[in-house]
Amino acid sequence: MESGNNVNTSAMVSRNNGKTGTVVRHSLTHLFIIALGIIMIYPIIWMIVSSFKPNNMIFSDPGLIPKTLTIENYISGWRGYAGTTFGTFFTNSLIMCAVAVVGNVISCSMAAYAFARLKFAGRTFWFAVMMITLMLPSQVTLVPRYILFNTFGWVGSYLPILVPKFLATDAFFVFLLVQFMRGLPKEIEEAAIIDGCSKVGVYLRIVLPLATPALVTTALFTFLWTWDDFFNQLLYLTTPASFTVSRALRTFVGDAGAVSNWGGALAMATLSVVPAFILFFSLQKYFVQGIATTGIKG
Amino acid sequence: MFLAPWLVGFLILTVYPMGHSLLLSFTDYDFTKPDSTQWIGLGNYLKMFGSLFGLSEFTAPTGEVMRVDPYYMKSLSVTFTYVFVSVPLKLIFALAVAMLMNQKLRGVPFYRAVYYIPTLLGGSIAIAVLWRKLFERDGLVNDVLAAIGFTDLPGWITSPDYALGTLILLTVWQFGSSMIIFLAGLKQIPQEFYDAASVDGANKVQQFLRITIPLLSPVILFNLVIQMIGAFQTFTQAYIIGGGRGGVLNSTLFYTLHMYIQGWAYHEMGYASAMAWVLLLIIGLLTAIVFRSSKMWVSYGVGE
Amino acid sequence: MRRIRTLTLMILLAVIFAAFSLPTLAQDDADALPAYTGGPAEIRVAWWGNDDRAARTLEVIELFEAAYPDISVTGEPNGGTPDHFQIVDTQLAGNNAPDVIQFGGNWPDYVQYLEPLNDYLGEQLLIDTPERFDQTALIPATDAEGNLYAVSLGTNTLVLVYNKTMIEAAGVEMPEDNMTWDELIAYGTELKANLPEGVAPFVDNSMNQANYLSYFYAQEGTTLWTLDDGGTSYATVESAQKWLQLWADMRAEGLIPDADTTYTYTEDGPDSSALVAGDAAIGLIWSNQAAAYQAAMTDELGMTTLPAGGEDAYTIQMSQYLGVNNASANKEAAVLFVNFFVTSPEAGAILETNRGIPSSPVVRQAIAGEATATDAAVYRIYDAVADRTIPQGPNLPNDQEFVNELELVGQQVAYGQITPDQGAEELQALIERLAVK
Repeated sequence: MESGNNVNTSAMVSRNNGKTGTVVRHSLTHLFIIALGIIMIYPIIWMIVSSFKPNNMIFSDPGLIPKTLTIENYISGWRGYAGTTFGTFFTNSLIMCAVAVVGNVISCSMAAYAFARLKFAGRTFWFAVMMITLMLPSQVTLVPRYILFNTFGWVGSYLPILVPKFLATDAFFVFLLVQFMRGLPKEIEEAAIIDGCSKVGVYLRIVLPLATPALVTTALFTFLWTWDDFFNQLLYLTTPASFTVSRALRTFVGDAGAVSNWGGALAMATLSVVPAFILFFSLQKYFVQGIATTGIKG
Repeated sequence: MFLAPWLVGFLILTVYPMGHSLLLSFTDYDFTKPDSTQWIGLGNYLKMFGSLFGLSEFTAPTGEVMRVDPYYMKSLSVTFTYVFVSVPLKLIFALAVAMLMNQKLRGVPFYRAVYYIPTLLGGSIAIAVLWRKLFERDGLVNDVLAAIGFTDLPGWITSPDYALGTLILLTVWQFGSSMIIFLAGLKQIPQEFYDAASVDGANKVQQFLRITIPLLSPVILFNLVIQMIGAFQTFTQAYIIGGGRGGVLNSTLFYTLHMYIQGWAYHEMGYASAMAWVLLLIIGLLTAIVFRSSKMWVSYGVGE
Repeated sequence: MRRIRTLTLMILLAVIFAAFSLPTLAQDDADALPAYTGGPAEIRVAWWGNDDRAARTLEVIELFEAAYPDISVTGEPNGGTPDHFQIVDTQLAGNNAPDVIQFGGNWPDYVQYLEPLNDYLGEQLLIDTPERFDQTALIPATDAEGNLYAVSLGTNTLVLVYNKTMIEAAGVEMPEDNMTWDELIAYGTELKANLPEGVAPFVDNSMNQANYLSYFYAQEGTTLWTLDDGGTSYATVESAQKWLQLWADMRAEGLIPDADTTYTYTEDGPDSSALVAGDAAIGLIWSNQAAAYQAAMTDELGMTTLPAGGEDAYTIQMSQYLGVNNASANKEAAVLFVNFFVTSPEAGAILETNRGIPSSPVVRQAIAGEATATDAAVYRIYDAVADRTIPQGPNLPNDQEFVNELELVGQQVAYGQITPDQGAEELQALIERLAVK
């Protein structure tokens, strides 16, 4: 009996040691990940916290715990400049991104459907061509596009930014949707065709609804990237009344010599990343899926 | 046809501009004086690389004397440094943290979200502005360092030695998306492999080198190419950190920034077009090299 | 010739100061605003400057709209100077530029886009009489053929401001007006011996203020740019050498901060300035910025002249101009706006000296009661340099590129990457290149 107990005890002890080891390791890992994570998002937390500090305390008292809280920065920053408030800028950004999303979703899904399901001459060739455009640096087409849009008289409007969205120029999303559509079971579509459904019908009633997850991912990233697309906005938006949030932040902050309202700048900067946050936290899984499929680096 | 929008877009917005920009690269097109455009053959290209031949000026076919761009090489060196330092660092961090998270931990989705946030926001101008402020001489970073006990701190953003470093830090900070991809890839490696290797007496390092890396190699390749291409095209951050210019002593004169200044601040769009084509060639070449070399280190099957 | 010019300028200045101090100047009917004969119009106005200037300008816009209910105005502040011109350049080339645009001395670079204003004089643009507007202010805005392209917004000039509080604490006397370069350096040396550690007597203004350079060049007799023969530069490499060596010596003696400290600041305005931050005691600014600098500091600022020496070189500049876009759909409305901006006492009362001392006697009188200590200091400077001023000359062409490249050369010399002599050669090459571009 005693030996039995001993055996049991030692067996229990050795099993416990293993578990303790793992627990310790896991705890340390957790700790490390958390610590590193905090360092990673520290700048962002600092930005958010500072936007609630009075202007003169932001840099004289740079800790994370504010001594006083105020929303004066949001009020003063919101006024924007040139008599145009950030209300206008946000509206401009939202509308522009929404239209871009619609354009991209429609055109990229159409192109993807063609590549994935429709048979036509040279399909492999054109698909390869499209994939090459994925690797093309945008700078190569930059100057001529600018000249082209200028000839059309579109510089100064949103058209140079939005029209390409309706023409499926974002190969990322075409690729994403193609991969997704290829993975859909063909039987449903074939059955529909046998039943007399046209290609368009199949596209609208079967493929699109089934491809919703990929479409959501497309919409998501289109919105985000259009929101953050500083360069094109810098190039094509010329009057402050038409500026988007990203563009407005640039003038708002401008040269070091033109900023005196850092609190306002930080407040507006914080607000400008709110849409990204909201989208991300509500639609996390689509983000991951999108990244995993196409390596989007954001 | 369903393909119509894409085809139209492709032809008008990709093919035609590419051809046009190639054409422009052989001229001295000035956006504000379009009527005085002249063909200068390889003039723009010589303008870029003339210093390699020891030239500082040369005569174009039109007879006008053209000056070799003294900052072109600088922009190349800045960009190359940026790419070849930041991309490996980024991938190493991404892989390391992904491996850390690959253990059976709780709350991985939450951590994943936290680490992705910098990537989510990092491309925005708001963060670039914030970054510039943080790394100024009187910025937060120096406050923290001073509190730890460092003295005589430089202004990182305004110092020609360190400004590029802050930008490298900014992009490495955004390793989140690479990490997520690595995580997905790691999850696909069956645990049995590691168990079998342990039984065979292999230690962690050997397991890493013999199992993890080879099986992950397609993913590594993928991340490497994507990040490299992206890094070459960095603009917004460089633009903001340098205040619309190249920074002190042009230390942050990224290639795309230089292109922008030449084309839109100095109106030399012929030259900017030439720069774009050279960038395309550089990226194409490096991508091809990476793919070529991948035959040696990437394995696509299990059990090779 | 020079003496006649100087005499003219002295008389001009005397008239200006007389106007300022004698409030019995005959005036036109104060509300003689020209009538607007067009239909409802919308115009856009673009300028550069900080928030304070934007706020004032927008107030003036509101006043204007109240006076001319049929014209609605959109104000477009474009941030700092380089931003403004980049935006305006793109707009002009894309043919969607504003109707009224603010320019600096670089307006000649834009002549092809500007509407000649001669036909509007006396009708919509009431600046043709000396009572309403200094006629000499029209000279730098007129090209060789007599076309008036821009309207001056005021005068300013370069001054040295010094931190009175800091200098007093150092136990040194205040700098005097019209010291020579040698005296200034000797003064700096004395100051350095008494300033706290890490504070330099002077800000490094060698290459971040193109006008300081051109001032020195004029003193050396090698004017940077003139309109002779359609445009000539008399710059020489010797002047460049002297200038760069001067500052290199100062750097070696610790009279200016080291390169790292210097480039921490952009020196565009009080928000990024070694003087305001307390790293230096004396710095170069435009007189119309003085109020902003003082507002940014708790220490008291004093003002003195740039060093004297060599030929006369001081310019009372037209600080900024407004030009009318010749592609504007509403030129009459645009011109009326410009007129209101520079001749209306109410507008002047809002703008004060933010863009310089107004060029209109009527406006000057209106704001006379508001003159601050800073304004008085500026007038004193105008007085102190009266016998070594010259008419304002044009800027070097391709002004923006010049400014950028100048800074880069300065940085290279400051960090010791090239010697001052090499820097001088680069500088000369730069000037020659931009002169013919």
